[in-house]
Amino acid sequence: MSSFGTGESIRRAVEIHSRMLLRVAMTRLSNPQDAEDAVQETFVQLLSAKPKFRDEEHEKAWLIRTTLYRAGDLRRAIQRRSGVPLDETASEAPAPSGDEDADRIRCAVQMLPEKYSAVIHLYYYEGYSIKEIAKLLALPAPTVGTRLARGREKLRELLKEEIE
Amino acid sequence: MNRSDYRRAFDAVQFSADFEGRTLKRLARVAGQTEKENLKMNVHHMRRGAVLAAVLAAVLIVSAAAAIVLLTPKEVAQNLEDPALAAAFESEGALALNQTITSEGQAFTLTGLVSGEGLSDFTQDVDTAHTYAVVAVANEDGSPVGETVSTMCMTPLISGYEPGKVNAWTLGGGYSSFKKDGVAYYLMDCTGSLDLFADHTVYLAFYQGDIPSRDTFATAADGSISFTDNVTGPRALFTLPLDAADADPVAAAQLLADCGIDG
Repeated sequence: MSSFGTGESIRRAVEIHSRMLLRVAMTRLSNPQDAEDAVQETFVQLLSAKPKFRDEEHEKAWLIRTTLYRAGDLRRAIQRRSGVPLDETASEAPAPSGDEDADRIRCAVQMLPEKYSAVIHLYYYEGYSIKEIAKLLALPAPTVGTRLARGREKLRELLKEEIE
Repeated sequence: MNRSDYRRAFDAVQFSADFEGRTLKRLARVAGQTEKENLKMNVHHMRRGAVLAAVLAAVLIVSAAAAIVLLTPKEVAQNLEDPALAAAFESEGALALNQTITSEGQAFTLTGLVSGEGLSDFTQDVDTAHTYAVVAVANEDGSPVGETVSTMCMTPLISGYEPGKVNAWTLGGGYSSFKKDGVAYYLMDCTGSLDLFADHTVYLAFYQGDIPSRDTFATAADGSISFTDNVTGPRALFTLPLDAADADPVAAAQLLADCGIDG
């Protein structure tokens, strides 16, 4: 079991995992600056909590889960400040990228219930299998399968197109 | 939409070019600040005289261990700009509590609990019951809580069910938190009414760490749950005072099935 907390190990984690975690945060946040805040908070938590990891995969799983929770909490805080109930608008208008289809897909993912968007992202972007996602999110594999299926169905309704 | 479309959608987002550099600088500042806090020995006496007056017990919540006045659950919800939930905490079905557990210099006070449908202005699934709980975390010596409070995890657990299988992560939900006057407040929002499980012992765990696992929690032969010796740092395990008459095993099983949990 490897411990964490040295300057070198933290630098390595920031350099290796930042981009991946920023994309994960964007499944719950529409603004890249908010995603950066959530991921920074994740690294602060890593520094403070000094968790003991069995291996690099364990570390990665911890970072992903913590980022998802930080992003979710930040989203709730933002929506409280804006006074917009969640059942009316699941996220702010997405930061336009100049690619309408890309913006539409991101917006749809951000409108999914959080338990579906996490699985969808890890499957479609990171390319993890159901079994690997189950390990990352510490969920039973059948739960992941169910959430992937339901997430696809919701995306199909939102995008009005087939999901492969 | 296929995998390629999905990846293009997320690759299109522009993040700051200096994110890693800024993050490392911030971590260096936090590391320096934490070291100073560990060396500091300030004691702040906060309103001890007023606190000890037994006035309006339903309005004032006093942390027995830290001798400070805490926000009520209604006030916590108001601070989080959720007037509907604030009202729910004052409703007949809400439980006003004042249970304190002290651990390694911190006092954890469970101040309120309420369950039901549509209680919050910020519920995404309005037809599904949620359980809301408020916990305040204060330092026993009255000094303001530090950064490490933000690393805490909060989750319900249910006797007879493996903590790794039934918890805040698998049920769905999260928490919102803020600090005020040196105290950290946490509002947990958990999908499902924990009242359904009232024929079991229902816990609320608060600790520094990660998703519940066998490393974190031990389950005895009778199904009761406790922290393992692997858990370090301040922590609390509350037993929620639910009414067994509210239990509904059929609905509980359905809730777990809906969450894809193989109980």
